[in-house]
Amino acid sequence: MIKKWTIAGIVYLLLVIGGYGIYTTTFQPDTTPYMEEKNH
Amino acid sequence: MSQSVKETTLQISGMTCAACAVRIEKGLKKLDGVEEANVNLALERSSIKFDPAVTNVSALENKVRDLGYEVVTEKSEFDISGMTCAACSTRVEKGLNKLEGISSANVNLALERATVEYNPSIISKTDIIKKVEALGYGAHLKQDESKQEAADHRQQEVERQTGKFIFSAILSLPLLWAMVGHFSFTAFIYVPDMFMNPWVQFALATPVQFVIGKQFYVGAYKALKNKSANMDVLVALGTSAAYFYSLYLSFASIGGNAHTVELYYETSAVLITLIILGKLFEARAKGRSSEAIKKLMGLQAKTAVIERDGLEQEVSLDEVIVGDIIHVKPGEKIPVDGIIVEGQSAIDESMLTGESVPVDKKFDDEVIGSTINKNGFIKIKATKVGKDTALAQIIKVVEEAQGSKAPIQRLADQISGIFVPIVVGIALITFLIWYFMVVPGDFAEALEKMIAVLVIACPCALGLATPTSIMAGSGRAAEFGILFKGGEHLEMTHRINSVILDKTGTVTNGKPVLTDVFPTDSFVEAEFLSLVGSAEKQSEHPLAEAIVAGIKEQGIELKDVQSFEAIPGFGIKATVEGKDLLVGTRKLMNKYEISISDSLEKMDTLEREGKTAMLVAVDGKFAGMVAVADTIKETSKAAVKRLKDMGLDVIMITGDNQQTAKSIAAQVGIDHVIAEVLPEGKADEVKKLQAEGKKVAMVGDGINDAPALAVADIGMAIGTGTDVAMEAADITLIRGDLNSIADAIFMSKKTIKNIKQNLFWALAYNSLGIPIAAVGFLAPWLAGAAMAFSSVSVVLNALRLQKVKL
Repeated sequence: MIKKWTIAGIVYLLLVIGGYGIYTTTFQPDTTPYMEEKNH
Repeated sequence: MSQSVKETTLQISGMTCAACAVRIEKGLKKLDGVEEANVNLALERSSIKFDPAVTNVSALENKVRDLGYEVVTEKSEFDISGMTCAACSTRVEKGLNKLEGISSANVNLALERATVEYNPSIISKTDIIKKVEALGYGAHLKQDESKQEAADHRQQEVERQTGKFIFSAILSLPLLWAMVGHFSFTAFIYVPDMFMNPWVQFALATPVQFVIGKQFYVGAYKALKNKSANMDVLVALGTSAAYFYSLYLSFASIGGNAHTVELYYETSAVLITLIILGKLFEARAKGRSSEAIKKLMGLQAKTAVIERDGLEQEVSLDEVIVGDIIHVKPGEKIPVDGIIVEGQSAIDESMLTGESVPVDKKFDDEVIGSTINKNGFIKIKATKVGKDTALAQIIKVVEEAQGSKAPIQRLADQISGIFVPIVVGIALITFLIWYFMVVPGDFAEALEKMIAVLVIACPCALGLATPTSIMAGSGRAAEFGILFKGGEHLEMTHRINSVILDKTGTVTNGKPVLTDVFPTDSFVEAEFLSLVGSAEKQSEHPLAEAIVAGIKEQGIELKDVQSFEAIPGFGIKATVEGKDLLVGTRKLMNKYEISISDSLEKMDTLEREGKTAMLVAVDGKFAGMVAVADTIKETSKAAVKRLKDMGLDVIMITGDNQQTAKSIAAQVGIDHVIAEVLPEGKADEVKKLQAEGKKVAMVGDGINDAPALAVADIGMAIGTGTDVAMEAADITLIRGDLNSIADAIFMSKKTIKNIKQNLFWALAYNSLGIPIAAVGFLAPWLAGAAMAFSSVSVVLNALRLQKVKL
């Protein structure tokens, strides 16, 4: 039971990260203004 | 209560707080035919008294399910033999389905197997097997199942909650990481760009909200359906508000710069994670507080070697029936209660009586299940099996005590029942004040304060405060051989200020021995003793048994008795070989107008020595006297001193005369003696003390003291737990030692103190938390953590009772 939930959590997290990666490399949204503001 | 009232226990799952327990109680009580319903949140168990003519167990179970909770049942498989056709399997199925406590029974003819779902607190596997056998077929528990330990549903619950916690923690941590970027003092921490994206946050928060948080929505729905509100309502309201508001902002940000929006996904996700963590700790702690029962159950042997059809075979304990001959090798546990039919051995009974010295047992002696056979091979005949064994009775008493409610808990239940609606009201007011007055127009800020109020106000700690302490306290007491019958007795015991001790069997060993024989000149000693012994043989009084044993030791033959009558408090009247015999007290002799003036001096001397002299008359004339003396328990003196040091008034009560009583009392240090009291008079003496405003505990061996035990504020029975004593008294002291009385009072004091601490902290926590949250000093996630912490701290405080040293 514990193992099942742990694997499900990690897999889902990786899917979200992977999905975001694919999205950004495909559409390349411009995040520069925010990062500049944050790092300022 | 009418005679026809039945009592049943249901194991219930799905309760989250005291409000749930109250709701089930109310729902059950509304049913026709239900006289009393008690729900214990910590044990997840309900005990119900109902009239079987009006309602039945399935109706009760259905009601619980209607209210939105589950009734836990057990499933077992049985191998059925002797079925030849479909009609047979239908017959077995119908027969089983008719039994009370069985939810469903399915019989598969091809597999020769019956799958039965049943309520283990109503019906046992043995009962099911018996029913099948009564129908004319053979039944055995499926082989692999008989060896398999019953799966503990609590353990499964812990595992499920652990899994859920890990899952939601994995998804909440990135959200928490993103959140630190919002604070000015933690802005230096690097936050990956990805986690700031509202749609990534949405993707992470959604499963937590609806997969892990489903239990809160379901719980809230069930509660609202039944027109009440519980902690699930608070959690569902709080987290949904945060989640859906963030979702709205996410949509609103489409087209603009999504990263600059302040979102609250982490509030809902972290909150759910923390509440699950709290529940996980709670489930673990609850499991630990029922350890006492597990320990007791662990004492039981798992299998027994029985002799059937001339063959030795090992069977599971469930299959042993009364009358079976059981083989017990040295070092093995005796599986069930029985009597020795062959062999002799020393038996270690320490697990039940606390007495560490093994007891020698021989042919015809009783043995108790779960005690250990030390050194000899014995065969025993089973006399009590299953639910009737001494150990099963002890487990039942402890379970009932742990499941019962102390009066102090009713208050907590009432408070938590009305708490939730009030909190929702306060939360709404908080929102309105913030939105219109403090930060006009700032919806997010006002929402955040409202969520914090909703979350901090959850009354879980309040609901757990009393039952966890009662469980831990009574469980710990049971380990020392002190069985409280209910929470109310555990609460009452600490108020005791007077202790009445019965003499025989309580202060003394209750095993007197024959010490002196004085026949008059007209009798030869042997003849005199033969007459007395024959008459006393019929009596079950301990003094009579001592006389008979003493006479038998001298090799004197006993005669047949034509008639016998016991006159309680006076003595006996019997006819032996045509002679009319009276054996007993002065009062008996006076009653029959027998002159005893010559013997009074001798009698006084014996009584001054603490001996009990019994006068004997034959055919209306005084014939002599016999004296017996009881020995005082080694521990009695120290125990009485301990009670006195605790500031208690210690009184000894006995049917013996003043002199004997005073002599014994002086030896153990008791100043206050009530002597020459008839069995029914003991209850009156208790009432007299109560009339003086005293809280009285009566301690006795439970048989002749039963009325006094019942009348006293607290009745304590001394015994091994095998006799009627356990029924009559509020507390059973399994160890014969009087130190148990002080231990019981001490344990009660500790438990009540613990309950008060718990109630104080739970209430203080809620009442302090709400204003702090309303004023805005508490972030929602911090409120969630505090709430989880409060439940855990209450449970941990209760668990301290398990470490109490007596």
